[in-house]
Amino acid sequence: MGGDTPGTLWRGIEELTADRIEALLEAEFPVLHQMGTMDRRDLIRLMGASLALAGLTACEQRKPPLLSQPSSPEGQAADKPLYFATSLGLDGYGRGVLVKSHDGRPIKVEGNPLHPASLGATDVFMQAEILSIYDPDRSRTPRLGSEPRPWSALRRFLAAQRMEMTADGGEGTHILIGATSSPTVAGLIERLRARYPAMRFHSYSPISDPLASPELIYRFDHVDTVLSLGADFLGAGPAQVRYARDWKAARPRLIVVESSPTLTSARADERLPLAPHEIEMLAAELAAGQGPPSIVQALAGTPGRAMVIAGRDQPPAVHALAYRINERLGAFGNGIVAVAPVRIAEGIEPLDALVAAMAAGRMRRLAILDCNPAYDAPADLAFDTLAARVPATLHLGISHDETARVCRWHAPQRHVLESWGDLRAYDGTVGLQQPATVPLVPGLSTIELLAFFAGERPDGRALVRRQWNGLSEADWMRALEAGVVSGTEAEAIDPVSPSPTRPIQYGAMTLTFQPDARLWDGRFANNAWLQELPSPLTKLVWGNAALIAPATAASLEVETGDIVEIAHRGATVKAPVWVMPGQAPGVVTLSLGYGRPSAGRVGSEIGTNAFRLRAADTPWAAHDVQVRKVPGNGRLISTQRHQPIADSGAIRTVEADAPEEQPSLYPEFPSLGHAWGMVIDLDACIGCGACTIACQAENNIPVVGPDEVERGREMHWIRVDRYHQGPAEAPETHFQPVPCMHCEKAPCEVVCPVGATVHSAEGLNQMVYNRCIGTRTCSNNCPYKVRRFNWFDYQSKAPATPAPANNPRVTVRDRGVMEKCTYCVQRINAARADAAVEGRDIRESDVHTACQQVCPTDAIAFGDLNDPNSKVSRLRRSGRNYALLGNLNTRPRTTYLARRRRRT
Amino acid sequence: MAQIFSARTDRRLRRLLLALPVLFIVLLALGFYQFRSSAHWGVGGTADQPIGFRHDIHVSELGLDCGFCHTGAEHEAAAGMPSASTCLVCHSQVWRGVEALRPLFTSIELDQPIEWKSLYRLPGHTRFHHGAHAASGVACAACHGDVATMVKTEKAEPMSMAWCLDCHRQVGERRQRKRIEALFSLGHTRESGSRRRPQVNPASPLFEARQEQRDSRFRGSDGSKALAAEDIAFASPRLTDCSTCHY
Amino acid sequence: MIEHVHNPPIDHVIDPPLAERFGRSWWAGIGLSLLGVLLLLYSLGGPAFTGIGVWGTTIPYVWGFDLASYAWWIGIANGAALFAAILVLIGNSLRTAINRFAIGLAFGAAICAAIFPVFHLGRPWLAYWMIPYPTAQGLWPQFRSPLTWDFWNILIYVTVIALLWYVGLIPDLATLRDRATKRRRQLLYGLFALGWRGSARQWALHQRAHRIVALTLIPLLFVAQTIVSFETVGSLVPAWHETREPLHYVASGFLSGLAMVLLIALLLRTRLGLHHHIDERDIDLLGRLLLASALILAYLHAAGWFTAWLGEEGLRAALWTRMTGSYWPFYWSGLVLAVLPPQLFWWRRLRGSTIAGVAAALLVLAGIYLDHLSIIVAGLQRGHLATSAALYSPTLAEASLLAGTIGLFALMVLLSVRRLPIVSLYETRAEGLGKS
Repeated sequence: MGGDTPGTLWRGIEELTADRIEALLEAEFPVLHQMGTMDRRDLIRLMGASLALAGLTACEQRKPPLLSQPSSPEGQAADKPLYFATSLGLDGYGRGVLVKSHDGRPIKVEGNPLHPASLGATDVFMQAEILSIYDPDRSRTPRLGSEPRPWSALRRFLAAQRMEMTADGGEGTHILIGATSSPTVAGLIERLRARYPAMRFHSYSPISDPLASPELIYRFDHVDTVLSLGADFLGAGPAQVRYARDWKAARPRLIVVESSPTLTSARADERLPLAPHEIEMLAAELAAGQGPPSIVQALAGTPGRAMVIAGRDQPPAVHALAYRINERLGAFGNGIVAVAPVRIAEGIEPLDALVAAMAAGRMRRLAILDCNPAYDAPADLAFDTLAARVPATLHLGISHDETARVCRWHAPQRHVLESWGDLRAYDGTVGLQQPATVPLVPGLSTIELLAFFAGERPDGRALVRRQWNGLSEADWMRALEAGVVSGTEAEAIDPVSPSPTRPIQYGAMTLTFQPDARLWDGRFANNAWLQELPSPLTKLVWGNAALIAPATAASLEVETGDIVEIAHRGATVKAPVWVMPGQAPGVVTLSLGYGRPSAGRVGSEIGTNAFRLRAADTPWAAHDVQVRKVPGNGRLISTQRHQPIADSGAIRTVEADAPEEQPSLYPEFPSLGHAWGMVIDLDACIGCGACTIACQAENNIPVVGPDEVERGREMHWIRVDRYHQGPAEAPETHFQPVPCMHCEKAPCEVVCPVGATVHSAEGLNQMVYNRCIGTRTCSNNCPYKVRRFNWFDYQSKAPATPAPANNPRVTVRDRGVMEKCTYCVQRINAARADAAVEGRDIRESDVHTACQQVCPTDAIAFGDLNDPNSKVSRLRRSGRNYALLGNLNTRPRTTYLARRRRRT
Repeated sequence: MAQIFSARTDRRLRRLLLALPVLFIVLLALGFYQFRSSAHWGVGGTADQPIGFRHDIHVSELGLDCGFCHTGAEHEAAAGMPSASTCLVCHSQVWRGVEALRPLFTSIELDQPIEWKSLYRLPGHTRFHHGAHAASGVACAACHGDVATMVKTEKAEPMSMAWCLDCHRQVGERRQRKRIEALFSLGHTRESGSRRRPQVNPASPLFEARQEQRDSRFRGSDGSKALAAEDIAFASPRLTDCSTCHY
Repeated sequence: MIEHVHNPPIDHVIDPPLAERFGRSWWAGIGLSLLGVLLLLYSLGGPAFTGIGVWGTTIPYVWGFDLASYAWWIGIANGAALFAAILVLIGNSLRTAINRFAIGLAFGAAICAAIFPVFHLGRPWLAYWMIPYPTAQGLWPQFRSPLTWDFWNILIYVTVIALLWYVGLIPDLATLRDRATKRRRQLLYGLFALGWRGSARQWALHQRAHRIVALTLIPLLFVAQTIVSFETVGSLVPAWHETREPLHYVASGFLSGLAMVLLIALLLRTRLGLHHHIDERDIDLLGRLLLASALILAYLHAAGWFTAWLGEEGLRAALWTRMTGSYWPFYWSGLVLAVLPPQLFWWRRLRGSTIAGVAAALLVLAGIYLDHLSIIVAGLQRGHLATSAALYSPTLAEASLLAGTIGLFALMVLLSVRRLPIVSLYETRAEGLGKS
């Protein structure tokens, strides 16, 4: 404990003179005390460096000075990147990453191979954290109401509160923490409880119930048949990366029953679009051993190696039924492992308890840490109005968001890449969090604030270390290096059947909610990379839409682009319609996270806010909604604005058990040394879009904003084309990532008048930005249309990526030049330089393209085609290998592996 | 009516007309000469630095190796500038009170870097890796001139793209020849005498060693195998690929 | 010198350049075209400073008005010049009347065309990189690219047209010099007359030079238009990858050139009272020619359908997309406006009528423009992987650029009309002498 125990002797703040408080708190808040002196100077230097290094544009002649630093950086050389192992949270679970930092600037996130939830891959959210940390809309100063206040004022408020709490033992004090699994937080809560017996703690997540027990972990490598009842385990989520990897490795037979198409159903062997109540009926039948023969046989066909997964958005009844089926299938212990809650639940109360307390009106203090209930709590709880009534409210958050606006005090929160902490992965494994940069903005982390209340020294590192004081110093350092604390997986416990609740009143038209594939629950709304990332199935950007089945759309007499008004229990929202092939009739689906009133300059008021229709009792489906067409046209921006040409043969499928005959490839183009090539396995691709955003982060690809995307000017170097096949009621869905093909006979090269795009000896189709004069002829001649043009100076046009986020190893393109996928030539060259310095040749393991590195299912292989043993050469010899538009004889270096079709 | 132009004027006019294209060609030639001249590329130019550092004293007289101060030169992309503390290793004793060295101390006190004016900085879109060049036996002097004797550091080469390519092309050719020799198993022969053949700087044992290391890969018991590795590692056209320096 | 005898037939022609007062309408015209030039400067400067994103162009529609306007102007230049050159070679009576300002028009149009290859670039200030010169980067242009050929194309083309025009002008400049009363004008005309004295030797040399230049021009014209077409033909775009395209460009170019000549001819003879010099026979002949070339274009369209019908699926689909896709109006209006109006000229009476002539000429010019637009934009709609949505829509910036070039063209015409003999004096004279 810090030196402030005498605090307990005071009866009120008034007994203290201001300067004494200051003195006391300077000692207590080293973080804040230093903030603005040493850190800011570091920051200035950082930004200076960033401008010198990241600001290099295609035709810039400015000569930055050579710098003699006061003292040499120990260890690493200045121009070599550093990697920090840390954990990023999603819905309270940790996902291990390695943060690449250049000159002290985090510029890229890679997966942590040692972390169970990553295994070296990442999802879109992990990639996007880089942009969040440089978000200009981050909250920078404490606020009272909306007025900025100095840190000292906040300190005084906090100290006063603490003294009162010490006096009243925390009576009427509530702390609401966004769902988290941090053991350090758990530890702090314990100590707080010891100090303030009456203090109450709550945890909330709009996506899942953090208190649900037990939690189920699925092991796809232990089963041969999976039945998903609305479970989108391949879609965005805390375990997406790992589950996708396992699924790809085992490829169990996958049957999906759901209301609205998901990434999971896109990869299903069998798919059944059903409305929620039909799903419940089907589950009941299956539990009774009846139901569609195909499903029953499939489940029975693989005794002990089959499991049923009920989606997070299914009602308790379905979960209970799924439990019964799984018990009968003997799935528990095989495919499914039940564990005690990974996220902190002990002595934690749910949100509605908090709301009840607020309504009772005896609440004195409320601290809301790292969550945004004013926006994402069920609308019928009226959280914001109730919170406004609490006398003393404090919000700790990364931005001055909706909740901050209903609280009296707001304190800026440190970004995860700036703070110490720890998080448990979906399977309980603990990953440590450490800062990858000095704080770019003064702020407090959650644990630091809690520590202050607990009367401890708010020093993140010390707090985490204390939590793990069981570890020897050596183990601690090893854990920091590896990013994971070994042997901390959650133990299995006996599964218990979820308690069936009262039956739901289903209606004619149901509105279901989905966490958004880009914005999740809205926390990423101000992240331009994610806003501009096409939604996997609709390819919509900068907004969401009401997904409606073709049949339903016909009966409602609406079509894509029309606006519908959705009414539920008096609340209404307007949303543009997107007619979704494969959507269950009678079901409207809205994704959460859009329409935030105050997300920031990028994300405010974009799309439709689905939370406004959300009810606490049935959070995932609003039953018996009224949908009616209203005049007007919604603005829907989709990056797939064309009808694919069926006979172009872009997508190929083969019978899974077809003999893999050798393909008739053209004789290879003779090449010296390395011949770089890429093979993309359409059988593994789940269309998650991680490659697109990883490429964006690695290659300084600008964000162009909704207006430009609407005109077809998005800049992504690798796009994921989505194809539907078959009837619109239940189509097959295919994904095809399309980067530059690096054709050996590249059509773009011969037509450039100045030779700005030429072939390299190693088969790269090089784009030389500073030679390009912008005739755009190359794009005309590119049959794949993978070339992107800088119509404006996108690097300076809002919403531009802040310069410090740029990768200094990649030129920032100027206005008027063409650009495209380079096979991450900067990585190849770096590897080559290192090899030359070490006097050896490049090894296959040295070079990974950004898209390849992050792919959860390892669908992208890159390497040397001249090395017969390289993975890419082996895949090219596979019978599934084919070239996109091979008939044009462009001889692409990037080829595809046909998707396997399981014979049913 | 009176003639407006006399016959002589006519002749003059015609001659003038003839002169125009000639003039044009002359101008072109001059322009070409100008843009290729050392002056245009600032060869021989110097810069006033915050500290009047003298390479001649530190290298020739004290025999410091390039890598001692420019620590990155051997392995990294940027050669790097010595930190103030590095200078102070000696200068905390030697020449301690001298006014000229004041910036070193100020830098330490204010924790701010010393800003040197660069003579060699390439434009932003051009990437250069010192380590890779050092590793393939290019001596510092090949591009920076005989720094060891410079009182005031001056730019030794134009650093124009044509100048870079000049070397890259020739090295490429040599490697090509090596390859061919290898394929016909004539064994490795050290060719000599191309104008811009990178010299091994005798003053720098560092690069001597590197050269040795590279050559050892040509010799070796299984010559052919080593050479196979060699021609993969140094496929000749790669050196003149755009993406070797621009990406 | 023989010119000194006063011979009436050429007065009408000589008066305008030497006249003191130009009349209100002329000044109005100058004013308008100057506004056009200002507009041109603005719509060239805008994109150069902010980025060519102000145009409707995007991926895959990377070209729009910029290339269409280029092809259109070069086509007009081609048609007019080809026409003029042929007239120089065959001693047709039309020659005297038309050839002079036909070649003048060609020159103006070529200048307008030359603007686009530079200013449609993303970085126009680097256009000089297409010039092969020993750079400090040790780089050269890429000679396999049709765009590089195009650079030479324009260069040679403007030069030769300028030559043909100027060589034809020399004796007339001398005449003007001698007729001029003001000292300043005498000097100016005299300077450009290159001391022409009209000696027999000079006449012989002059005629030979005139013919040689004309001869060099004729093949060049076919080449020029073909090279322009290569920018599209030499690519993988299904709709463009057609061997008949160059022919189409030449034919449409000739048609538009003739239309422009007819238009200006009618305007001149009405505004400047040159009925004696550009008489009914000339206009009649122009009408017939316009009709004939319209029929040729129609034939080429038909041939296009036929080959597509016989040809492989991709080509057929691409043409179908041009006809029925989002940009179908371009195709059909282009076809109709270019081919139908000249059909009026089956009737002699209409061939004679000024209104009909002007109307037909304007419609044809518009039609040819839309035809180019259809080739460029609608041709890009169907790719190999997908048929793209209609992402391209011309913006004000593009339209104003086109308007601006028209203004520049008008300015050049008006000035030449007022300062130069728009009908060949010495040829008229020769005719005059022949008659008497």
